[in-house]
Amino acid sequence: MKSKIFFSKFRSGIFRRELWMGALALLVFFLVLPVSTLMKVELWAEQLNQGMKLWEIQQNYAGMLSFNNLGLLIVTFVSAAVFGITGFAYLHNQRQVDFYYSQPVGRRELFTSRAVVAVLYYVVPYVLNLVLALVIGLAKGVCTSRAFSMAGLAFVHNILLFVIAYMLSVIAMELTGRIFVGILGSATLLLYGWGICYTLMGYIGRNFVTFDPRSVKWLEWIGHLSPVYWGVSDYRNYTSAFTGKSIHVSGFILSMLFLVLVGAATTVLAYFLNKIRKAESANHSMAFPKIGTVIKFAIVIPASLLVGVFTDTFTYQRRFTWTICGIVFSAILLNGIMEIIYHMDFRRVLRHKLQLLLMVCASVAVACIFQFDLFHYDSYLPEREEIADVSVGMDFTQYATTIYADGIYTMAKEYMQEQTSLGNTDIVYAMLQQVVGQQRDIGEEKASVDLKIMDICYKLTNGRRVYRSYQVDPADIQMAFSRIYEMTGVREAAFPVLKADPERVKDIQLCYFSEYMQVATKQSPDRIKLLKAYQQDLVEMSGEALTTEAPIASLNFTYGENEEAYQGCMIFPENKRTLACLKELGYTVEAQIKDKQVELIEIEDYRDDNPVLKSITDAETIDKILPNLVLSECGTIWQQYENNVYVNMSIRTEKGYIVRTSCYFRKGSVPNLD
Amino acid sequence: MIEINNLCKGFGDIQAVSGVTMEIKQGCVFGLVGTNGAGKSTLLRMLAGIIQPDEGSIRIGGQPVYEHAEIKREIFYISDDAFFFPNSKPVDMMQYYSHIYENFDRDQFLSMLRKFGLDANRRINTFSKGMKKQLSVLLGVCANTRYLLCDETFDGLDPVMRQAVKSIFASEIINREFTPIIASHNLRELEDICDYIGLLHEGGILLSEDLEDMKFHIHKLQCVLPEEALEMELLREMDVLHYEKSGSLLLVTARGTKTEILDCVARRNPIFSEVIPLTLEEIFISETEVAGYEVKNILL
Repeated sequence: MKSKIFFSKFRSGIFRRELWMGALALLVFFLVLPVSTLMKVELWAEQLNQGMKLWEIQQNYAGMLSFNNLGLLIVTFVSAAVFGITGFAYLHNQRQVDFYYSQPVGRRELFTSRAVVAVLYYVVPYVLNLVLALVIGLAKGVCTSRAFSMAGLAFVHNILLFVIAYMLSVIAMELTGRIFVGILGSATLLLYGWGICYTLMGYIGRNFVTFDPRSVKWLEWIGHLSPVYWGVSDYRNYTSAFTGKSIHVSGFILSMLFLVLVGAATTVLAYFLNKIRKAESANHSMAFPKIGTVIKFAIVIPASLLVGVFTDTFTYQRRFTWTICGIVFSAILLNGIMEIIYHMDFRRVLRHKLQLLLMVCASVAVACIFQFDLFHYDSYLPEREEIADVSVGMDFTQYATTIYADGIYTMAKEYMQEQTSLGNTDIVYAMLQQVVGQQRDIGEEKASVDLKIMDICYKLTNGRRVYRSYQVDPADIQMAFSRIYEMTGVREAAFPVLKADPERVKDIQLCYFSEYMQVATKQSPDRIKLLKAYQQDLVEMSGEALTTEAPIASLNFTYGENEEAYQGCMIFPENKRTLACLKELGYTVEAQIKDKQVELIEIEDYRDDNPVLKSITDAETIDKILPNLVLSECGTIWQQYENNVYVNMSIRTEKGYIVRTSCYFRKGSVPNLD
Repeated sequence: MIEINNLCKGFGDIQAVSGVTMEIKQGCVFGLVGTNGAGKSTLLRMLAGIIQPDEGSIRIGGQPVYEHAEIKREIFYISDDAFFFPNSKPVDMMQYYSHIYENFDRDQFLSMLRKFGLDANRRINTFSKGMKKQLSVLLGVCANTRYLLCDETFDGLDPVMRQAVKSIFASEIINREFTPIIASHNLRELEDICDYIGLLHEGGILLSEDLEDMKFHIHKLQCVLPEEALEMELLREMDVLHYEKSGSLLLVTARGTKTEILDCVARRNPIFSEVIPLTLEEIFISETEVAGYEVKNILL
């Protein structure tokens, strides 16, 4: 009892002396929560009149109190680092060490009291300002139960991140004996994994043409060694997860449990180091000199590799020689800096030459592994018997698109890859062999604009998944893909609109020659008929038609309670039911461009050094040109275009006004413009 | 009682304290003297439980000091360069220490502050070095611990304040169980106040004795003997620490009581002889000289 009263008084003493920490936290949380929330809510209220929906405001407001407010994350990390460094700065001052350690207060109590005070100075201002922000939301009518739950989850998440970051800063202070070395150490521990991840990504991205981020999940785990990386990726993941319909509660709980474990581990480590740290370590750069060499290796090798990546990007031809020069130079420099820091003596700059040599060799070896693909990353193709299944993801349109499927927005290519199951057939393996074989020479023989990305996931018999992102020329795999397209489930994966429930469709918009027209409203029964017709057309469309025909228009379907949309659903000339249905609704979509009344074609040809600009109004010439044009808004990857020839058409509509739309020439069909 | 047994502490390649064994009795004023780098501050910091010995032990009442909060409640350490909280005032420090030391006497502290002319509400960072030393001593005394460890505490005090502090120590020793342990170079000051002296040199203990005993057993002899052969005989017979000759006058610093030395010289029929007690400073110089720490070895 006596002891409890004593420590309560001791802690309250620290609490009073460190009052500035609370004041600082209160101020920044005030700016990040109530002030920014109030400003944003008022801004959204103005946008309410300009078409913004109330549910969107409520969702944005909930995000402001949780995972869509980067300010919260910044405050969490900055306050953790500042509290950790200042709270344990006494370890770096001999006078203060003598002062505290001579008193009848054990190191355990010193550590615990400071940690408790730091957490309180984070939590109390956070809670006060969160309550204030919730009151603002209630007053403005945008606060929902969802906002409460999200704010609560973010609060728990941020506290755990704070504890981890705080303990890492404390560990840095305990491992060092000079304040500036402690600050450097703290920054290193908070960002180390991120730095390694960034460096390796630099080498992988630069050297591996088939790199797919999903193939290096271990990189993400390395990144997770840094709480900052962790926090940022969590915020990114939870923002998208919580704003969508499906809340990955189980994933969130697992992540929280993991944070708790890491928080406990860092706390135990910090406590243990505090216990064994020698009092006389103050004013020495390293409190545990024996680990100095390990730390030097752990910093110099990745840092010199990082400099190597940067050196390479600054050179014109990106020669590997420059990478090596950057690595060697930075390793020597960093080794020198660390030796100076360790001994506080400039004359030590070239000490431990053998260690320096080892570090340079290790860094160069790592760079060579990536440069010469010593582990055959790009040429990887499993043996036929090792493959259980293969899935493929491609963007059919010219540009990467986002689609709405299964309740969330996702990249069309990723969705397709998740949904397809091609099996291990002859045709699939033959296509993979062809694609993998082409990778070595890719980029040398073909212009990058002609190449498209094909994501492949090898599902191996041992349960492992291997991802690769191949660059392919669609012309090379057109035949193979048209057959694959007709396999079970591939077209549903390629066109998620096939899964749309016609009863839930609200509005349908037609995009035709750059004009957007609402063809069916939520009241109209025609919307169901049109969607069904379109779905039927897609089901019946052959792979050959998909890979050879150019679309002529597109449809946007607005869907569900929150008005999500299936956008850019292409209409092919073969989609007769859809075209007929549209005609019934009063919208005639011609199967060919030539059937439109084109008054002017402007051509900009940049294939040579001297660009050619030409305007054509002559009807006869226009008629000759039209069959060679493809609308750019409806372009697919299967069409071969002249990439450096831009075409603008002026078309007179049935209502008598002029619309302009852009097109491409099919490959090799540009007329003589002289 | 503080029992120090074969205490060793090194910092890297430097052995700061090496095999120190001694006892510090309750209720005395213990002076810790030594050459520069002898290990006085290191020993004091180990006594305060700040640093952990590499070898050996320090026990108070049979208990080790290091990381032992209960034992540390009986110790107050005043460092050479005491730490006070930034922007704090004497009352703030009083508040803090009264949480740490349950017997801290606030009234006595405030009363002493007034007597020493220190403003309880003035910021400590505006105090002079001497005023900070006074404040440290007052905080240490009012903490009412059994042991007060002072590292060079008297160095910044003016003679009046030194006297005042000595009086406080004397009064505290009379009134309660109080054992100040004072490390200092200022041997004259220690001579006035200390009962026991521990003499450190190069990390090791040269002697640890009652000051009066020490003075009782070491003396300076001035004599003139009729023959040079008798002088050599005398030097052989006595436990000589140092001797020099100035003309026919022989000056000898030797171990032994006044009577023993006088007897020894009387047997050689001296023309003149006188035995005079040594000051602490002279004892320090003599003892360290024997250990190889001689002024002539330092001066070029």
